[in-house]
Amino acid sequence: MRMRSRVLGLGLIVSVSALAGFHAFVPDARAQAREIKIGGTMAITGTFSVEWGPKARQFMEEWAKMMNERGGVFVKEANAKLPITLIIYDDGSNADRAVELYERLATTDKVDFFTGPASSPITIKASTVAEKYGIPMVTAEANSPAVFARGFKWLVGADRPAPQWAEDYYRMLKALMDAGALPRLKTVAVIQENTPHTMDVGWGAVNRPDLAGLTVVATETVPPGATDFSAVIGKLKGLNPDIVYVATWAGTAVAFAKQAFELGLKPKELHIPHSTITEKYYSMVGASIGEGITGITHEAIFKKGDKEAYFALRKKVGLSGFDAGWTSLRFIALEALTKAIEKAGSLDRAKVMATLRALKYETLHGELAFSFGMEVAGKKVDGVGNKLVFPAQWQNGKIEVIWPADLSTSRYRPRP
Amino acid sequence: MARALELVVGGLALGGIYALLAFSLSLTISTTRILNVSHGVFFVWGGACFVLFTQHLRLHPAVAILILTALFFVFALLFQWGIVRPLLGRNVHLLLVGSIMATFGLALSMESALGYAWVTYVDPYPVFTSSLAMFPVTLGGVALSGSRLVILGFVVLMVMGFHLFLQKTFWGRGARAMAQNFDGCLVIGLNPYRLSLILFTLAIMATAVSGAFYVLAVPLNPYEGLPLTLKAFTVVILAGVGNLPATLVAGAVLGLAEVITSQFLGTVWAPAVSLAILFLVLVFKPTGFFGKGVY
Amino acid sequence: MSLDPRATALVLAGTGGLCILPLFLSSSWLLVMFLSFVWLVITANYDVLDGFLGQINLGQGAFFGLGAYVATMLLNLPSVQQLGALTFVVITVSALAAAALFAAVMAFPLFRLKGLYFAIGTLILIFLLQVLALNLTPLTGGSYGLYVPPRFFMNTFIGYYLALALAIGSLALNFYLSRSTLGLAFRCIKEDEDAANSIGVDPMKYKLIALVIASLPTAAAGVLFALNSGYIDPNIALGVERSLLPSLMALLGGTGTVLGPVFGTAIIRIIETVFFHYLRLPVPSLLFFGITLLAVALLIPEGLLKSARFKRLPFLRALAS
Repeated sequence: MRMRSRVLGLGLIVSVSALAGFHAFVPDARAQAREIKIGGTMAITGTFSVEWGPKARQFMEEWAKMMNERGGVFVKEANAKLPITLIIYDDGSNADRAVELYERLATTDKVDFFTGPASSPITIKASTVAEKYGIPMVTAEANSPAVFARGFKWLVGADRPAPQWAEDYYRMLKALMDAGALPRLKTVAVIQENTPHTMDVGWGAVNRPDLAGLTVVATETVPPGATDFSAVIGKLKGLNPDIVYVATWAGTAVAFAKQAFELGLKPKELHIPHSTITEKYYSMVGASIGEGITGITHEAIFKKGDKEAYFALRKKVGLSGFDAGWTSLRFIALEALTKAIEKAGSLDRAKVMATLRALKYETLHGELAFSFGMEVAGKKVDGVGNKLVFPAQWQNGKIEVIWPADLSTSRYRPRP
Repeated sequence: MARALELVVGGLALGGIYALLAFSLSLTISTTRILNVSHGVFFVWGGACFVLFTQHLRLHPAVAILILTALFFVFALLFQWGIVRPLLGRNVHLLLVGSIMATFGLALSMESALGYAWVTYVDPYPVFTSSLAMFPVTLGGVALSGSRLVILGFVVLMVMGFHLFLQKTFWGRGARAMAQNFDGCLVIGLNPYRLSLILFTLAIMATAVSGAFYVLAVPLNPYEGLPLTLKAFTVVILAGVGNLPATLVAGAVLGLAEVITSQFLGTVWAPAVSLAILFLVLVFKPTGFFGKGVY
Repeated sequence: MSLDPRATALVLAGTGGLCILPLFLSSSWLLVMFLSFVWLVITANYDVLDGFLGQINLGQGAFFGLGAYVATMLLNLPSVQQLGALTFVVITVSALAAAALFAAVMAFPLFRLKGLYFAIGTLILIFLLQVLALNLTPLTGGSYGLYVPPRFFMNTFIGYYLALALAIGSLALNFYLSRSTLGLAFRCIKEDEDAANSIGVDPMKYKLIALVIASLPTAAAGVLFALNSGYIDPNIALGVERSLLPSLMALLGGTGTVLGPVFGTAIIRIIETVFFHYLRLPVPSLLFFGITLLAVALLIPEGLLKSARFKRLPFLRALAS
C-alpha cells in the first residue's frame, strides 16, 4: 500500500515534468523557414467580446486563407513564396490569460510576428511581451497614447490616435460651418466614460474645441457601464449646448441616447462616436433618435488598395454594411506586416521591424505610414498609424459617410 | 424647485429598475434554499429573447412575452431536474455550496453560449435593446422617461402580485412556512419539494420577463449577467431577504442616492455612494430596512 | 496529533518536484505556474476564514489589490526608487501594513454580520475599493492604471520561487492552524459562537486575528504579481474574479482541509489551461469551462478532499486533515 502510493506520487511528478519538458525541448523544426508564423489573442468571449468577438478571429483566419490561396508571401531570403500560419487564441478578455498566451506564442508556438489583442489594457500587457522577446507587433484598433508612449521599439499600430478623432470631427464642423452647410454652433458638452479608450476620445473633444471655434460648457465623466444619466441630462438641459459629444462604449451610448430623448434633451447636433454607425443601431433606438445622429466609423466604401479582396473577406465572414468596421484595421495591420516582410526580403525580426517603421504604401484609406515622436494628448508617441475614422450620419434610415469628400456618400444634414 | 422634483423622479425611476433586478431574486432565496448565481444571466437571456422575438421575428410584444414565459417555464423545470434535484438530497450547507458552484458554472456556460449564438446566427453586435416603449412624458413640467415608467408599473404590479400570493394563497403561505421552518413543513404534511418547484419556476419565469422589461430602457449584452446578479443581491440584502415590498423601497433609496450624488458630486461617484449606503445599512441593520427578512 | 507518513512523503516529494520544475519549463509555463501559486496563496488564505471560521469572504481579492496598488504607487515615487535594495523591503512592508490595517479596521463592522450578510458585506468592500481606484486618478492612475518602472520588474523565474515559497508558507500556516489552539479557537467560534464566548473565547478578537492573518500573504502575493506584471489597473488588481474564484477553488478542493486549496486551485487552473491553451475550438472555451464546473459541482459539491468517492483511496484520505 505504501509502496503503491509512493510510486504513484513519484510517477505523477515525473510525468508532469516530462510533459512540461516536452514543450521546452521540442526540436526546432524551423531551421529552414518554411512558413510565416503570425500569432495573437483576441477577445472571443468575455466583456470585450461584445465589440470584437468570434468574427474577429474568423476574419483574420479567412485573411490568412486568402493570402495562402494567392500562394503566400514572397520572401527573398527563402527564394520562395511562403504560406502564412495564423494562430489566434481566445484570451477571454482577461489580461493575465492574454499574457500567458502571448508568452506561449513566443516560446512554445515560436511565432515570428504578433498581432494585437483587443482593448487597451490587454494591448499594454501584450506589447510588453513583444518588447521582451523582440517580436514585431502590429496592433489594429489600439490607439491610446498610453500604449504608444512607453518608448517601445517593437510596436506599431495602424489606427489613428484616439484623441485625434474629435479633432478631425471638429475640423469637419468648421468646414461645414464655413461653407454654410451648418449654422454657426457655439457650445459643446462632452460626456466621457471612465475607461482608457473613451477617455482618450473625450480628451480630444474637451481640449480641442478651438478647432471649430467652440466652447466646452460641460464635461461629465460617467462610470464604466453607466446606465442612468438623469442628473447629467438635467444639467445639460439647463445649459442647452449646441453639440453633445458622447465618448462612451456601445451599451452606455444607447442608454444615454434613449434617456436623453425621453427626458427632452435635443441638441442641434448629437455625436456619438462608438456604436452609432452599425447596421442595427437605428432599429435599436428607433427613428426618433436615429435620424440625423452622427458618429464615426472605420468602414467606408473604400476606393483604393486591395479593396476587392477586403470586401470579399467581409462577405465570407458574413459581415455587411458598416458592421464591425474594425475589420478594415485588422486587414490593414496584417497587410502592412506582409508588405514589410516582402520589402525586407526576410523573416528576420529586426529587419522586418526596421522596414515596418519606415513603411509607406497605399492601402484602403490612402497612404499608410507610422509616425514617431509625435505629440498626442500631452504624450510623445511612437509607432502610431494614420488610418482615418470617417464621420457618418444616419439619413432616412441609412448610413451615409459624410466626410472626407472622396469617400463620402452624402452631405451632412442638420437633425430634424 | 422643478429641478429638485426632476431629480426625485429620476431617482424613483432608477429605483424601479433596481427593484426589477431584485424582486425575483428575493423571492428565490427566501422560499427555496438555492443561491442562484445565474439569476442575472436568466435576466439577460429574457431580454435577449424578447429582442429576438420582437425585432427579428417581428412578433407582437405581448406574444413575445407569452412565448418567453412558456420557454422559461420549460427551462425552469429542466433546471430543477438537472441541478436542484441532485443537490437536494444533501444537507443544508452542501445545498448552499453546491448551488453556488453549480449555478456559477451554469452562468458561465449560458452567457458564452448566448454570446456565441447571437454573433453567429443573429447579428454581429450582441447588444439587446428595444425601443418599443420609448416615449417622453411630461407631468406638471417635469420630464419623465416613459420606458422607466412602464418598468416601474410592471415592478409594482409584480411585487404586489407576489406579495399577495405569499400572504393569501395556500401555496404562498406554505412557502413562507417552509422558509421559516423546513422540518415543521414536513410535520404538517406540506411537500417542500413540490413547493420549491412551484416557487422556483415562478421566480425564474418572473426573472426572464423582468429582463424583457429591462431592455425597454437599458441595453444588455451577454456578459452582464454576473455583475447584474451581484447588483441584485445587494438590493435584496438592503431590502431584507424575502420582503418583496421592501425591494421597492430599497430600490428607491439607492436610486435617489445615486441621482443626488450624480448631481452634486459627479456621476463617477454614484456607485461609491450606493455601495457605502449598502454597507452602512448592512452593518447597522443586517436584516435589511424593515428587518422582517425571513432569514 | 501525529503526521501521516504517507501524506508527508507525498507532500515533500511534490514540493521537491516543484522546486526543480523551472529548469524544464518554458517561460510561458513558468508564468502559468507563477500565477497558479498566486491563486493558491489567495485560496489558502480564503480558507482561513471559510474552513476555520466558517465565514465566506468574497472580498479576499481586496487584500491582493491593496498590496498590488500600494507597492506600485510607492514604486512610482522617486524617494522610494532611490533606496536601492531596500526598495523592495519598503514596498512589501507598506503593502502588508496597508492590508493588515484595512483588515483590522473592516473587521469591526464586518464581523457583526454572519453567513450570507457577511459575504455580501465583503463583496461590497471590494467593489468600493475598485471604484476608489478608478476615480482617484491622481493617486492611482484611474482607469489608465499604474506602471512599475522597468528596472524593478521581477522576472518570472525568480517570481516562481518567491510565489512557491509564499504558497508553501500559506499552506504551512493553515497546517499550523489545524493543529494549534489558535485554530481550535477559530473552530469553536465556527461551531457555536455563543458557546465559545461562554468559555472565554472572545469571538471578536479571534475573528480580527483571522482576518489580519488572512490578509498578509495575499497582500504579498499582490506585490509579487505587480512586480512581475509591470502594469496594473482597477480591473487587473481589484477585479471581482480575484475574490470569487478563490472561494470556488476552496470549495472544490474541500474547505477546512490543509491540502484542499491545492487540489481546488489545480483543478480550476488545469481546466482553464486545457481549454484556453490547447483546445482552440470553434465554440467558446468559456462554455466548456462553465459546463465542466457545473458537472464538478453536481458530482462533488462538498469538495474533492471531503467527498466520499475520494476518501475510498486510503492514501489520499490521509491528505485530508
